[in-house]
Amino acid sequence: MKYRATLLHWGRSLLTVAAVLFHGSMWAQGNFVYTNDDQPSNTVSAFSVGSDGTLTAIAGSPFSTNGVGFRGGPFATNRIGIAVMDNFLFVSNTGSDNVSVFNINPRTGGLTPVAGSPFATGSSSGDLGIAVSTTPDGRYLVATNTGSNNITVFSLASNGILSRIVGSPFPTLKSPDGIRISPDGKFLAVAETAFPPSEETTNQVENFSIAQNGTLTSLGAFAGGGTGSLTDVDIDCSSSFLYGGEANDTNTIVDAYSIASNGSLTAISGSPFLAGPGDNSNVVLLSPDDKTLFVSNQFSDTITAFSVASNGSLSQLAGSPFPMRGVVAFPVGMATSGDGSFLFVADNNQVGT
Amino acid sequence: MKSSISMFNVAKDGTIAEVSGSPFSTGQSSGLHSLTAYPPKSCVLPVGIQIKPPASAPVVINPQSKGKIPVAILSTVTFNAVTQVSPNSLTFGHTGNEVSLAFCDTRGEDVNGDGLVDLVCYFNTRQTEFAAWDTTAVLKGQTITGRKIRASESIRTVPK
Repeated sequence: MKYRATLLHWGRSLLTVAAVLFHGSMWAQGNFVYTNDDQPSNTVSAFSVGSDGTLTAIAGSPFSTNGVGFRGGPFATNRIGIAVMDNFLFVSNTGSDNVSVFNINPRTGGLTPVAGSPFATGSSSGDLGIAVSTTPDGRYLVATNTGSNNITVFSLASNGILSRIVGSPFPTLKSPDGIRISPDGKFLAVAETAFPPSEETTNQVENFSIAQNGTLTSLGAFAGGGTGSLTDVDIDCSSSFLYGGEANDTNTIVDAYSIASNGSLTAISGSPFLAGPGDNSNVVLLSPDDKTLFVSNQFSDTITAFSVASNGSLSQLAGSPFPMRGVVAFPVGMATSGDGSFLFVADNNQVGT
Repeated sequence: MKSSISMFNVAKDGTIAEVSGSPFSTGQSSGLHSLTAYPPKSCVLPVGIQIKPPASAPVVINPQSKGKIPVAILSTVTFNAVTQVSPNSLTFGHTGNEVSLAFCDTRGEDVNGDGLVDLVCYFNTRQTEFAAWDTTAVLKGQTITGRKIRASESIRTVPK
């Protein structure tokens, strides 16, 4: 009897080991990273992510977007995004004012363009940038038009085809740069700046409500508290706190706001939070657990990391800012892996731009 | 000069350390501003389900049935469905928003033989609002800490 029980135990253990092995390799979806290369004949470079963080180009990479990039514009304008629910990848083409849509093969990472891609925004990016983001329910894609100061809203069909909704584009008060849709799907936050650069200093985030039919209504602009220019925003999973990075040439500056149920923003105690040195702190990103806020500093080649308290306040982590490796580092856009164990940083290797 | 991707390990305390071999060249000319990861960061926790365990997908569902559909929310090594899912938050059906929960067996059961106890809940078929052309069933809910969960599985419907 004891022998049989041992056999059963071993058999069960083998099943468990097999299940874990298969879960972690053959049957599991892969981990991939995609870049908007922003090239004249624009492409997406695609890499698989090894368990040690090593990147390997996947078959078929780079993939043509059939659009035109421009290799320039604001750093915080996020030109690539994924619809969480449907495995669609969205890539903006600044030079041709359109958005390419791909299906992601969850096993291989390969990309297949959807029928009709790319889709025209109907507005002008002014060769500056088009930021893209989807609503949490996957019904709408938002695309900002930095050159024409407005926002295109597309409805997203189940096959990935985009259609501009009635009323689109929706005007912004200033040129849109970094954007974020609140995880509850109620609001679109837009960091606004002045393009082309002028003597005018713009330091604000404009918040919009998002209706069930996708239409946007401005709730007004909310000023940054520092001396820089608000360029990028992120919102925590509870849709309670919003963080904005202020580009400037001295310290890393982050504004922190509480978000009211009507979408109005109020700076929390201690905001703005400063950490030095951090030259041109354009891009902000919360970790998936909302416990860490990362900021990329383009001109000081570093990443600043803050600990996020339950009341939304920030404290710089020991060892921060963290230097970038490489001959000429230039950290720009960031993303984390779904589980938060990796931080990916786009490095465009430009000097002084 | 080529664009590249710098890779960092993120420690539990949020500190970062660049991985060996980083940065990785994209092979493209400079100008890289933006990247994204798959699976993406999400405030909704994706979970696995098995409908009518131990049946394999796509399971057959008769939308006109007066019975109940058992659905197992699968545990993993990092997610205990029995202790972490709030049963009363669960909705299941055509869109995932259908209020169709009958009850959950909170004792749990290992339905897929992986040695981990799964949460099995039962949903009233007629309240799931499945239609004849449906090919996907969606489950939504929350963890006991309030984080949203979502799962989907292939189905095949048959007429009465």
